[in-house]
Amino acid sequence: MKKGSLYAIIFMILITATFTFALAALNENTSTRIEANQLLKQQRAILYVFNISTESRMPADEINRLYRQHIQEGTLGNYAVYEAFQDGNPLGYAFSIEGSGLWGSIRGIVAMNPELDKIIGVDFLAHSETPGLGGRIDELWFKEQFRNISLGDTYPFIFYKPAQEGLVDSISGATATSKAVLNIINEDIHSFKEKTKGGI
Amino acid sequence: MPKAKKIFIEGIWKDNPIFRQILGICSALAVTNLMLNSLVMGIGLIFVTSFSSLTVSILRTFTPKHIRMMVQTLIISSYVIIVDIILKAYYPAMSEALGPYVGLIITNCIIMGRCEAFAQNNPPLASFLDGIASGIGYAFILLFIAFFRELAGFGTLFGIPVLGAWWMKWSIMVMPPGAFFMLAIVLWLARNLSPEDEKEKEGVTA
Repeated sequence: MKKGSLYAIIFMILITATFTFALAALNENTSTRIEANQLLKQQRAILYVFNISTESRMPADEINRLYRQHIQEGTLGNYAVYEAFQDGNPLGYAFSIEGSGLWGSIRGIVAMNPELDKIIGVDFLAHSETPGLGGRIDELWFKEQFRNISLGDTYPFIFYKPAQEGLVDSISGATATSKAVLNIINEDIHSFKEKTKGGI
Repeated sequence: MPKAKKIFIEGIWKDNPIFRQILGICSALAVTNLMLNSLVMGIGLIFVTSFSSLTVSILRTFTPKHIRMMVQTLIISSYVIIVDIILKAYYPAMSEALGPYVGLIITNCIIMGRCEAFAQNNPPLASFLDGIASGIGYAFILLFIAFFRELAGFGTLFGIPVLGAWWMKWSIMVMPPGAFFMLAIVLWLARNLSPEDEKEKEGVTA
């Protein structure tokens, strides 16, 4: 053993422990806050996909109130389903979608009308796509394209524009992400429809 | 404090991390399609570089030379995670806008470059200032590139439309090729503006 190796090992262990401890403490102190932020984000997204307008400056309890007023949480198998109502009339169902994008998994929410033949809206909760390229799936112009579009009768239900049945534009410069997003939406709608064949 | 002035001049211009040291090119190409992204990336880098340099400098006399790289990586990644957690907890909107950028700071060679080249041999305060100076140098070039890319590509600055509807958007500017064009132009311009340094450096290496 080289001279000083023991010192190096002890030093490394100590410094790793210190930093890990500091990070763990910070994480512990902020985790409830972060969870609350994520819950709020999810509620906001669910309201958004049903086109119930929220403003970005709206305080947390206001979002919370709107959410409780319109949304009822339910399950389908072990799948969370959110049912929305406007003045007592059902607006439709929302469920989460997930799949792999270009760099990592993309998680989002899709809302469909009660007949399940139309998409009411789409939102993305988490992804790790290239900022400025694939990351633009977060932009309003992209998400708004999915507002109230009718599905095709058979899988795949939606296409990008140059195709004849195309309803939405893909993102230029982000072909892989665009394709992935469409696949995720198509596949998860397909499996949701399969599961709901016996009725919701 | 004349030394501080020297550190800042070196970090921002004479020894600018991007056009002199050609470090941090990866993120300079990736995030410069929007001014806002560049600004936040710049601020994040200033924070991480300065505090990493400070910590490395404080620990420099205790750190065994042959494991210093490991120690530096540990310090840098800890600061990046701290930035990430704080943004997530207190500035969720900002954290969302940045998303993966924060994690990308870890891979920025400028931070390790400054730890190795400066903080390892200099006192804490000077190292801290050096980190800030290099971060500013980096942020400055990023904003410069982003200004032209966003303006030409989207007709906006910080998301605010400045060119009217008549502007034909040069989409190529916000896509990867635009980044390479702009970066090359910046390097060419900057090196032309300070040609005497080039000769000095050539003399040293020759």
